[in-house]
Amino acid sequence: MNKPPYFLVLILIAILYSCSVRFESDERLLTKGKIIDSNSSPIVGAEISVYSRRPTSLISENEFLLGQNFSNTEGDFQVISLSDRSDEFSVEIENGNEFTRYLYLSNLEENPPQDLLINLETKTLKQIGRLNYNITRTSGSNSDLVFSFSYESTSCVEFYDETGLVADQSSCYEQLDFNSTLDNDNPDATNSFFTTFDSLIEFRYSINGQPEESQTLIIDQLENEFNFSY
Amino acid sequence: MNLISVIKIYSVFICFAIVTSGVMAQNTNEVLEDKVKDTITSGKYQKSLIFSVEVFKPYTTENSFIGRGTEAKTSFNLGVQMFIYKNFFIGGFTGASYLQVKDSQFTGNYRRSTVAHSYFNFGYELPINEDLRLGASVALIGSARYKNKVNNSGSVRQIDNAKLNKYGVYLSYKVDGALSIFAGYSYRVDKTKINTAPEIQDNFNTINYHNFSIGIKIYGGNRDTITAISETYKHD
Repeated sequence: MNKPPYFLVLILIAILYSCSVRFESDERLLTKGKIIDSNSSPIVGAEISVYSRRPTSLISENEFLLGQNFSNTEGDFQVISLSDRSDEFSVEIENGNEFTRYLYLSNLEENPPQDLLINLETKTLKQIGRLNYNITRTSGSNSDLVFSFSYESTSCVEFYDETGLVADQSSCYEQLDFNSTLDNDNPDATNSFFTTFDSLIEFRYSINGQPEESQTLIIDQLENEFNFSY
Repeated sequence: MNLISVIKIYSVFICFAIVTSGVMAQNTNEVLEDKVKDTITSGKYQKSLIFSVEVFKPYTTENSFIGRGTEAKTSFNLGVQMFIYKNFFIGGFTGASYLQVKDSQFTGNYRRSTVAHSYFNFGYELPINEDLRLGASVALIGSARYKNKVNNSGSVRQIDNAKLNKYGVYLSYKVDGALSIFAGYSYRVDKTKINTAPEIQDNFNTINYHNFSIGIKIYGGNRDTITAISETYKHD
């Protein structure tokens, strides 16, 4: 009679064991804070979600929702969640598509929260507007255009360790640049991007290698149109 | 089934048990008291052991976040009671109850809990007459383990542990021979080991339940343990 393939059994057990995910026993984590908009008014009903990313097998990992809640009429929130000593712990704050998102990141494996409390203090979500731009060539063939948009991003990601905010791993409402060239192969451009309300967008352009010129735009509506011809 | 419905069913059972056992047929309180005294002192209805199987419906109270965020489902319990001296007994029970999370904002994100429990209790059972017995018990040593399942399969989970205290009463009615049916009420306090932020710690320290149970009890023997032991040594 053949011997049972013990190594296969061991591998199977290892795979099965690795499929099981257990969060911290006998613990609940409290995440709290306040959410306001650019005018310092409280944001009501923003969704706050607490996540942990974990390996679920030898070859995959998943993000798990540990707890979720909404901000109240004062903009204050408390999220009671399961607790996990994950190296990829996050708190996500969002309020629909009309506001920016905020993301708190931390490594709770190395930096477990004191008193099982994460206090985000006050976070600002900015209203978002979309710029729909339409650039067309009207000057006939052989003209080209080099252009760029400089605008504020709609995301705020902050990474914290035991000393506080880690600036080089965080990016909050950074200035973004987008460049493109229009020529005979591709004379027109129609596209859109999101940026924050009341922020300035700088449109820089150069026609046929001429000195660069610029225009400044302000986003003050949900949908904004920008038409340019060269 | 809500709490009012359970209480109504209990009332019907208790009335039925009392009427059919003949207690209501007594003309005066004195006669009833004499009869009860007689059953206690005479040892006429003395038993040795009880095996119990019960189903119960727990109702969590609102004084804890887990109580507010969950709804308990029909659960079960089984155990044995041993009469140590006359009608005083000690017992050991084990079972499981089931909680469905209805608002995870109070609990953290998981779907349901299977709560395995076991405890030792002590108490007294009063044989009112041949058919009817009234018992009361206290459990001061016990534990509960909450297996909180995040996904349906239970492969993603979290565990909470608690010490358990339970205070209960029951009324059993003899159906045939050793077999009785019973209805009971108990109040259970699970003192959890959950740690959390100081500002919400009080909301996680205990989980309290009102339990309404029905089940069967199988009675065995006719001597308490101490009497049985002393008689054994007497014969030696």
